[in-house]
Parts: sequence; structure tokens; C-alpha cells
Amino acid sequence: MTAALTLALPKGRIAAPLADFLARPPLSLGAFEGRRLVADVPGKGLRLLLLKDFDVPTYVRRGAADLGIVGSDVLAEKECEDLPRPLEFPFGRCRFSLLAPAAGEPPPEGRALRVATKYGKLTRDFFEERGIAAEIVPLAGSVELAPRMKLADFVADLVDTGETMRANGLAEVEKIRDVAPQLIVNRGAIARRRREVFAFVGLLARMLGPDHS
Amino acid sequence: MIERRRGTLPAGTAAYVFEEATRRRTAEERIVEKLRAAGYREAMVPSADYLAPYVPHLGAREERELYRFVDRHGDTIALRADFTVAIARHLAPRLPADEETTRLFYRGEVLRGGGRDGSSAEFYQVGAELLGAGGAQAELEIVERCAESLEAAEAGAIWLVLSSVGALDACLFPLLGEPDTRDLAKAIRERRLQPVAEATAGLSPERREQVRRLVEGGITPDDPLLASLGTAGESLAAAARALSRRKACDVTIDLAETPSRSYYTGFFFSVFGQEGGEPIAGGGRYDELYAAFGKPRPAVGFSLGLEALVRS
Repeated sequence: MTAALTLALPKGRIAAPLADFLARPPLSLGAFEGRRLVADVPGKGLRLLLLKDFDVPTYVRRGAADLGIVGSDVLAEKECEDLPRPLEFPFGRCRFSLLAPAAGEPPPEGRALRVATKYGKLTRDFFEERGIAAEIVPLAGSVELAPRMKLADFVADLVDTGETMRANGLAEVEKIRDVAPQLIVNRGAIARRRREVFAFVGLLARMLGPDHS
Repeated sequence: MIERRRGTLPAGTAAYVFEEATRRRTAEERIVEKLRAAGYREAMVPSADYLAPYVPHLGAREERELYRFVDRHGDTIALRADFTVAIARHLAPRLPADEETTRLFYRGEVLRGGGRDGSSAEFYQVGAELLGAGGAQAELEIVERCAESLEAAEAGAIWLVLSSVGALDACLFPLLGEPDTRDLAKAIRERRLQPVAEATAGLSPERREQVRRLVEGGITPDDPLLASLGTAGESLAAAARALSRRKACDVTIDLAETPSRSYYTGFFFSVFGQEGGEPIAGGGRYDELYAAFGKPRPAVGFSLGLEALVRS
């Protein structure tokens, strides 16, 4: 019997719209039950892993998962944009932006700007391209709080509806890049299981509609 | 003051002792024995060298992945990240003008990249090079030596993926009928279905099917796509046919593959093992490297990383 294809799915922001998509026929995948992090899907030849989104590229690159779904923000931050990425999904899209307090004094001149973010590499690249001195304040979450607590002058983070941003007194200064979930595949899986991998990719593409296949 | 860290290792490095060390050394000795028996002689090059002679042969990623430092005399030194360029630099001045072919092998550590996602930065490589021989026969010899070496290290079943620099663009030009194929070639290399579908929407179903085969990469030796590549296509087909006779060896042609080193000029290949997302071995042709060091001659080689082979 052929081993199942392993698909790494992210927890977090895109988990809900992704679960809705994967529940559509003909794939018709059910939700993860309880606190399980791995689930075999009978009759589909699939094993699902539930991971933190920043871990999905690591699992896929190192071959612990054949395929994965993760935001383009995470792929770029983890320097994994070289992984084959056959599909981009139309749901869960947002933008990665530079945010600043909507009201208040501009940051003082004469020192590097302080920018709080979960995305150290993307933020550093953005300021370096513009030749602006910036000090990155790495945070794991609740980054919108940083300007209010004088930890940073700016925030670089994902903006979807903008509700969280506005609720924390921030405004969008500049969009850094668009973000969309991507299907990624490891090169070993393509070499070893080319037909199965592209059959699965084709199935997802057909589920997305005629523009995607 | 020197920072003292005692319990951990620098990112991407590892120590091996006892059984693990024995397994690695045994695999290395078996590979070396095979290469010696096939007429390959050992070359040794320094593990650190001046950076400057290497810069013209580094792509952006390769340069970013280097470990470098300024020595006591103010010179920039790079730790060995790759044997091929180091061997060309040190061997070229000593190569006799009249020697037709040179077969050599090497072994030792290289340090490059790694770290951010816990991936390795230090690799123990064994590799072989065939200098002074152009053409498909030399390429086949090197892939055969690579497959034999993996067999000697008891790597198990392998998946060989053959490709050629420039072949994808050469296929796309007649399919699209326009000279600028760069955007489509990039989308195919990234295997991105949506931009490929958009760019080929106006093509006939037959041509779209050919592009699909380029994206998915399972090209057989009889595929008419190879005919548009001339000699390069014939060489790929001949190598695929010859190599498919090996036991426990799956062979395919995939023109969407990206060469692992920027100095490859034509044929290149990757080898995948039974597990893992990255190749366990690879190689290719680099016909311009020796000219840069004053001794022009065709060259083809392979290297494999012992870590991936004997990982417990």
C-alpha cells in the first residue's frame, strides 16, 4: 500500500477559511478533533498535520511533510520562497504593512526608528531598501501595543480588516507587501511521488475553480 | 571578553561520536575505495582561503551563505563552502597542458548557510570530478560514479532528476513563439500553476499540455520536448535511458529544476533519497570554470553529503 501524502496545515489566521475550503467536495475533509495534531484521512491517502504557521515551511523543506499551506508572509520571513509553490488561495488574503500611532508626536529625529514586529527579516529588508536606519524590536505577538507602551515608534504587521489596528490607535502608513496563502511542496516529494503530488495539486486547483487549473 | 557557551553548538553544526562516527567513516571509506578503483586520485584544498578569487563564481545566494572573516593581516577569508571552485583555483596552475583527462576526488567539510530553521550549515562532502572531457559520455560517467558511491554507502533506493541549464527557455521559445520567455520560465521553475495558466491561455491545447509537462517535470526520454533542445536533449535522453537500467534507481528528466550551483553551464542533476526534502547528492557540468583560472577545459562533477546518508 502506498504511504499517505502528508499535508501540513497552519493554525491561526487562515485556519478557519482553509478548513471551510478543504471541507468542500470532492475532498470533504473534516475538522481536527479535540487536541489532536495529526489525523489520517481514510480513503483519501492523506495525513494531516496541524502546526504553528511559522513551522509549516520547516516541516516541508526538511521533508517531514510532503506539502503544506502557509501565508506568503511566513514563506518570505523564513526565506523559503524557493520552495515549489503550485497554488495561491483566494481566501485569507491580507497585507503586511507599516503602522504608526494615528495621533501623537512623530518619532524624535536623531535616532534610528524603533519598529516592533514578528517579522524581523521582512521589516529589516523594507527599511534597508529605503536606506532608513531602523531598530527592530522583535515581539512574538500583540505588537499593536508596542507604540502605546513606548516600546516602539512603529509596528510592522498584517492588516486584514484593520479593526485591531484602529482599536489600538494605529493607522496604516504604507503597505509593504500583499499576503496570500500558498500551497508549498518539497522537492523530494516531487521527485519521489510526482504523479500523486500533482494529482493532489490538480484536485485543489479544480476545487478553486476554472481560473486556477 | 570571550563569551562562553558550553552546552550548545553553533547553529547548523553537529558532533558525531562512537557508532555514528564509525558509520560515517565506514561509508566514506567505501565510497573512496570505489572512486580509487575507477581511477580517481585524491585532491586536498585548504578549508579557508582568500575570498576574492571566488567572488566571480558566486551567485547571490551562494555569497550570502558564506562564512567569512577578516584575518590578522586585514584580508577577507572565506571558509570552504564548495570544493569545485577551490579545486579549480589550486589545481589549474598545476595541470599539464597535454593531459587529456583528469579524474580526481575530494572529501572534507564545507560550511555554508543553515541556521535560521535549524538546517545544517556544516556538511561532510565526498565528490569526484572529471576534467578535460566534454559530451554525454563524461556526464554519464559522473552520474554513474555518484550512483555507485550512494550504493556503496548503502543509501537504498534513489530518485535521479536530470536537467540542463537553459533547457527550459530553449523549450519555451518555440512553444510561445516569442523571444522573452523569462516570466513564464520563472513561474514554471516555481511550479506556480496560476501564472502559467494565465501566460499560456492563448496556446493550443497541445502546447498547453507540453507546458504542463514542463511544470510537473516527469519528462521521459521519448518526449518530443527534448527534440527541440538538440544535443542537450539527446544527451539527457541518452543518460536517462542508460541510468534507468540501474537497480533501485528511478530516473526522470525535469527541466524546471534550478541548478544548485551558479557555475553549472549545461547538464546537471540532483539525487533524492528515500526521505527528506532536499537532494542527498548532485552535480553537473561547469565548462567555463577552468578558463577563469587560466586552463580552459570542460569539466563535470558530483558531490554528496554524508550526513544525509547515514543519519540515524
